[in-house]
Amino acid sequence: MLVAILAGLYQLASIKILALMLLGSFIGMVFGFLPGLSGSIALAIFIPFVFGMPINISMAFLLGMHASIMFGGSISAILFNVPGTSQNVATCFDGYPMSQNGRAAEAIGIAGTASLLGGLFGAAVLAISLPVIRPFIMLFGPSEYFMLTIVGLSIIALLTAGTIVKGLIAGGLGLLVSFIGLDYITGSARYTFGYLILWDGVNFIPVIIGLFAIAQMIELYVKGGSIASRTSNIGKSTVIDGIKVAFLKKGLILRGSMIGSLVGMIPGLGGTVANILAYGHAMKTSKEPNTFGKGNPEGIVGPEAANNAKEGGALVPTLAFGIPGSQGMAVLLGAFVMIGMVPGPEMVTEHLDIVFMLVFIVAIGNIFATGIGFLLANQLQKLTIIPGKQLVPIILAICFIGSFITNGRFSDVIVALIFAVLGYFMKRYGYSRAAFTIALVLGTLFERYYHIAVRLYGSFFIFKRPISLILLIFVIISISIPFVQSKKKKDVRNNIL
Amino acid sequence: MKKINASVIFILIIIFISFGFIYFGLDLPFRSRVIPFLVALFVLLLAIIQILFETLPVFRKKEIGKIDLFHTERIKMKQEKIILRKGKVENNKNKEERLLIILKWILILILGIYFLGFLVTLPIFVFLFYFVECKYTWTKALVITFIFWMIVYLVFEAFLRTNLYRGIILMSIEGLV
Repeated sequence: MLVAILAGLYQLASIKILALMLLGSFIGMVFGFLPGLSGSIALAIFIPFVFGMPINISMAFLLGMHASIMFGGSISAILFNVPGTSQNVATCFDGYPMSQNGRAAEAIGIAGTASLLGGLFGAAVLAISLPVIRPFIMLFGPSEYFMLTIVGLSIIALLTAGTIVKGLIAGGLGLLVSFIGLDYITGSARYTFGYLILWDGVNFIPVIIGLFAIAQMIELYVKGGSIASRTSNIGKSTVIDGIKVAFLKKGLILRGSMIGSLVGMIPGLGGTVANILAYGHAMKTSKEPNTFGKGNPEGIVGPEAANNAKEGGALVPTLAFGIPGSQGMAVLLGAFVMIGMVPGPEMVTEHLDIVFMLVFIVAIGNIFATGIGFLLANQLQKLTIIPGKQLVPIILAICFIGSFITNGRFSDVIVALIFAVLGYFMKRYGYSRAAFTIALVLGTLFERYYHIAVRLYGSFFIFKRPISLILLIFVIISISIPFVQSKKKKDVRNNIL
Repeated sequence: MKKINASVIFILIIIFISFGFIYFGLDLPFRSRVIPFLVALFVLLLAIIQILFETLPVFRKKEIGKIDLFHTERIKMKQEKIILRKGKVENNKNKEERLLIILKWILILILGIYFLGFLVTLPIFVFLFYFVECKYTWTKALVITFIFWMIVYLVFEAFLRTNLYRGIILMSIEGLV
């Protein structure tokens, strides 16, 4: 084992490889920063460039790039409310309000530290779990997947405490939108009105670009002024403050990373689910859940740790069974095969040095990305004091390009516009966009796994599967705790009066 | 007649959408329609409750009044309320105008992209926005536009080869439509 670890590290011990990783990290961050350009697109573009290179060099570049994309996406989510990738959507909820309060550099510091620690955790999970993971993954079936989506949906109730009716309406709308498209169970087209483009459902990227980014630009124009309304804080908040805050939340980073790694390991759930589950967890365990959505650092720590830890977790099934855990991993799997690596159980038995090399690449890639982000943070923070009017045309243009290039369809530009208007009015009248997004992400999975689980295990499938039952109990407890606590507070207040 | 609250109109639109999901789901097979049907019904019910919250005075928050013999506090509050309301109305009016302006710009951008494509529309849009809205001098607006266009072209067309949408006019000239 130790020999394999050292051999893995030795394969990366070259200035040339480290320089390539640094370049990869920078490119990854740019791809993450720009909405619509996901990790899978970056990999697909750069695979031909590394074709024919030795495994250690090509992997250092590709995986280093892939490991940096999440943090790049967090930066645009924090600065402009534009989630660079769909997996940064929860970072918008509290990252952007921090920017509005003139604490963008601090938010980037928090996101960077949480991402780095999450990424290192994911790499450690990859190293440790690869030989023993098989029986654990096999425990998860449709019933457990369904209950995981319920765990995610239960966040809506917490997220919208105080305006629960509006929150549930927003969540319900998100679910309804997720039902548009071809039904996986019966094969019938639902709510497509004869349009073929709707058969695949509503594309998620244009929806979140519209709902958050374009809607935010509309609001910025209408409101006037700049993103950071309290300019006095600019310059006072630094990356170092963010690092300190993140280290104070070590427990949350650990728990967010565990959620991310776990979700990453389970093929089919995706990074957005990890991001949202971690946000919900951060909220449930916070002492100040009321400040979520208004710039609570915990709302960045949890999701950021999760989405970076997810990468290490997603590599586990990709390497151990050749089953990609996400779209990005599917492209990476193709890259592995192209450069002569065949993922599968042999990776653990015969190529353990390569596995450890990949672990080190994920770790170093995260360090590079964080370093680049921190170096640029103070400069990037200044973007938040530019008058909104001057930012609007450029960001609108990039948003519409981002909406278009995900699928190369003009209809996605229209989708972005529709959801921009919806997002603007939702914000104006107090309907949670976060609740809408959570429901939209989980809606398809929720319905699909419900039908499969019913077919496999019958109507009462939850009670027949121990993990599902545990998750159900967890959901009931986590939803009821805040209500019990608020009732207790009320009783105490009444007693005092 | 009392003016209808804008948020009520928004809820009515939500009711319309959820009703649409119920109506258009009726022809679907049972397994396909059952969950959307239940969710739409749930949204419909909640939206009706929300309308009641926003329209019926019973559900509105009552103002907490103090014992005020000469009603001075109440008069003061009323006066403040009137001033605030006036300011709010003016502010809202301004907001509505600005909302219409930005929506017009976005509509122009979308139509431009549809007819002329990204590479032609984006520079025109960026230039006009800076020149007309931000009141930049035409040289400054032109320089920003050129830099932005070059970045878009180099990143998305030359390097990534994303084949940005070219617009129906150009595509019909090329025989692609």
